[in-house]
Amino acid sequence: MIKKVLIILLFVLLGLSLYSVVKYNTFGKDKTVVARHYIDYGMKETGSQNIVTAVVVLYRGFDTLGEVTVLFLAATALGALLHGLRFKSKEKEPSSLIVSTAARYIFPLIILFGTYVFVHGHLTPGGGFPGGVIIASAFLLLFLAYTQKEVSEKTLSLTEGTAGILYVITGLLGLVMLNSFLANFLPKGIPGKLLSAGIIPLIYILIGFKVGAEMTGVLRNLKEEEK
Amino acid sequence: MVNPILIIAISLFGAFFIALISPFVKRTGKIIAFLTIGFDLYIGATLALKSLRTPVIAYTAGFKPPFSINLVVEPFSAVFLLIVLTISFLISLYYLAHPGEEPEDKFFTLLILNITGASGIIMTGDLFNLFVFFEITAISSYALVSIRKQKASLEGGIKYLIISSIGSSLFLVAIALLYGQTGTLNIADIAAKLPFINKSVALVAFLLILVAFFVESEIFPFNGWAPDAYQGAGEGISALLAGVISKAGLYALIRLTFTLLDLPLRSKLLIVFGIMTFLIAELSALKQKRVKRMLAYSSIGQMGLVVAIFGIGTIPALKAAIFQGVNHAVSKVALFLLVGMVIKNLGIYELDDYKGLGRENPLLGLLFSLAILNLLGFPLFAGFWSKLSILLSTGKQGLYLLLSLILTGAIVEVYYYVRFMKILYERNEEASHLEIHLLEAIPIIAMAAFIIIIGVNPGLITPLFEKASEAIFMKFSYINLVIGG
Amino acid sequence: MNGGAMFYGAAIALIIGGIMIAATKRNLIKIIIGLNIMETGVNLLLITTGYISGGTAPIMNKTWTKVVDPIPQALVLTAIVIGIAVTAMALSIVVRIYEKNNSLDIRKIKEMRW
Repeated sequence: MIKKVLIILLFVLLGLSLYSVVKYNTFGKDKTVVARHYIDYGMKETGSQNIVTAVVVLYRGFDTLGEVTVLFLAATALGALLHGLRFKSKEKEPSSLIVSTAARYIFPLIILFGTYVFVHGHLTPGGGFPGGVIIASAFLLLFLAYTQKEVSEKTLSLTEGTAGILYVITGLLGLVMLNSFLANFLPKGIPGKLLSAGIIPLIYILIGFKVGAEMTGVLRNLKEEEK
Repeated sequence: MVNPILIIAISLFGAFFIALISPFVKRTGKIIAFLTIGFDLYIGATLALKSLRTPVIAYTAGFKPPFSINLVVEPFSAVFLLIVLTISFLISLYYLAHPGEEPEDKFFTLLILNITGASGIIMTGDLFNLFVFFEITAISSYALVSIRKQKASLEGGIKYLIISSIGSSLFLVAIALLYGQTGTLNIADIAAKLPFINKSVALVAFLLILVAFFVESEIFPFNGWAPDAYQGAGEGISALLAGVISKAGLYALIRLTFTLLDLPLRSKLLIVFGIMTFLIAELSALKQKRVKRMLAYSSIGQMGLVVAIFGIGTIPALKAAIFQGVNHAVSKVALFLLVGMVIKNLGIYELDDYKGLGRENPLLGLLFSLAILNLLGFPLFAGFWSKLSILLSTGKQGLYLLLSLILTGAIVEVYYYVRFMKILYERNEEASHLEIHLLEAIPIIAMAAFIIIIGVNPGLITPLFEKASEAIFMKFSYINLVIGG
Repeated sequence: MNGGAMFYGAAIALIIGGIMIAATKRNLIKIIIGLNIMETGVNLLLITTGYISGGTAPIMNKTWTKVVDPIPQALVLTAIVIGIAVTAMALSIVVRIYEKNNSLDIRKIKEMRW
């Protein structure tokens, strides 16, 4: 009973949000101060062509650290909750010849593509997170094609932990050298080149590894039949 | 130089470190967690003391707000930071003697991250950053509640998850609305722009934020998850919920409704929902046969009371609310930890099974009694002063209806707690003896010492609350602090 | 009325739809899907507040004159990741619930009463 009343109230509230946002938040209006600054000076201040990347990694880098932590949290929680799970496993039939052969060839290509995405985060759309997920999907392909395939938990845990620690250390280096956590202490270089934008490629590479390891770990935990 | 960022950075370092070495060296989580949290407390206490003289601001990314995210520690945040970190440290002490939930290393990683999230919520000066840390706290909470994997824990965990996710999404909607109007995400910046925000949008955003943080602060009618979560979680985690997680949610609620969107509607809403929560929860506690659930309802009720007093909004009321919040945290955490010891040793859950335990185990009985009397507001205990200031500040505003409702709830509280104490001290030949480990008892003894020392001399701590309530009352000092003139 | 009504309306509709699913369905998996739909709606809402008419992606490798607001995009990036994390968490709890109760019906897990 209470639940129904609450739900209706929520809908009213959301409806009001819709009304007010449509009436009072102009659509397609001009950028305001902060966004203006990022767009006009972003490339100059950070050396990155992709302004969204500049915002995510530098201006709001602290948020991104939090985001990375959230993923780490989810992977850890999954591992903790699914620890020691006993499933009545159905006999899995091995996948067809086409799938297993093709997987062997496609796997490295997907990994390469994922790496490309996160290394070029400051030049093209994408970055650490999509890159990492692409890499995890390569492993998913492998899990589906070769049902016996195992990925060692030790490797994943090691990668996760190391990448995370390196990220924190990068931030601390900024603190030590420039008195500001996660400040950019590497040379900015020329925008447009691969080696530019200071710590952005470095951080995205770390994020790429971390996300890849974490998502693979999550998939592994969910697929594991008997521990 | 003591930088607030260090609390977050070192905690994350600790958590990642456990992940790094746990495949190779087992059972390191407990120690690393203890060290990390201890370090956090040290930094937090230093910061808090410093902030009383001059507030501390840390910038990130090398840019100044509103172009970057900043952390702020000023007296109001300092009090909450102290509460959260001290309680966390005491809980980690408790876990040194008490087995952590399985799998242990991951459990302690989750614990560190939960505390990181709570500290982040308290220290951040950016609205979206608040959301991120809020999610860190929330997700680790879901995991910590469910990790026992019993039916009750899972039920509590999934209910918590569903309701809290809806709350977080509503918060995001509010962020979208506010960003659309102001173009910035910095709390001080938005607060400064409040006069220029469209009134309807501000109102809707305000309501959305209220709903979202009512969920986390266990306020009726959004607290459906809370009794089950408290009951299903391990006792150390129930203590965490009472002393850390709900306090972080409370901080966010107050910060966002006093500084960010300072609307006059706030008073009525906080008071009404707060007092409803208090009364309904206390009445529900009366009916409980199981100790943990009784304590859960008591905890929810106290949160309601604190929110209602915050709603009154005058400086004496703010002081009273903060003080009561501290006392509640200390007492509740002590009670949950004590119950944890009882459950570990004797495996009993029902109220009636506690018959005679107080007589047979004098130390246990004493600690239980101290915590309970503090909660009830007996003279000579810290709780007396906070309850007194609540009554005084309510009376001074002429809110006599509120006053009588508070007294009603307090009487109900007295009734079921005294009933509990009677059971503890009943004559019972079959009452069992408890093995109490020193390390488990230390946190509770420390809290008992706090209760008595402050009870005798509240002036030791009230100046802190005075500064904190002034700080939150004067939102312009916060605004000027962060974004200058 | 402005041109954004369609997008804002779609976003709010998704949010409301998601909440309705989460609140009324009994199957736990469907509830999680409802939460996901709700989160998608919120992300859409956020992105829509950043649109600039005639603007394009904020990547400065040619001489664009108008780009859209990069901030909501950064926010949504984070929000999506957080949504994944919550979903993964929820699924792991549900897996355990299924193991214990052999059912995904939310009414069956209401074990705790007064």
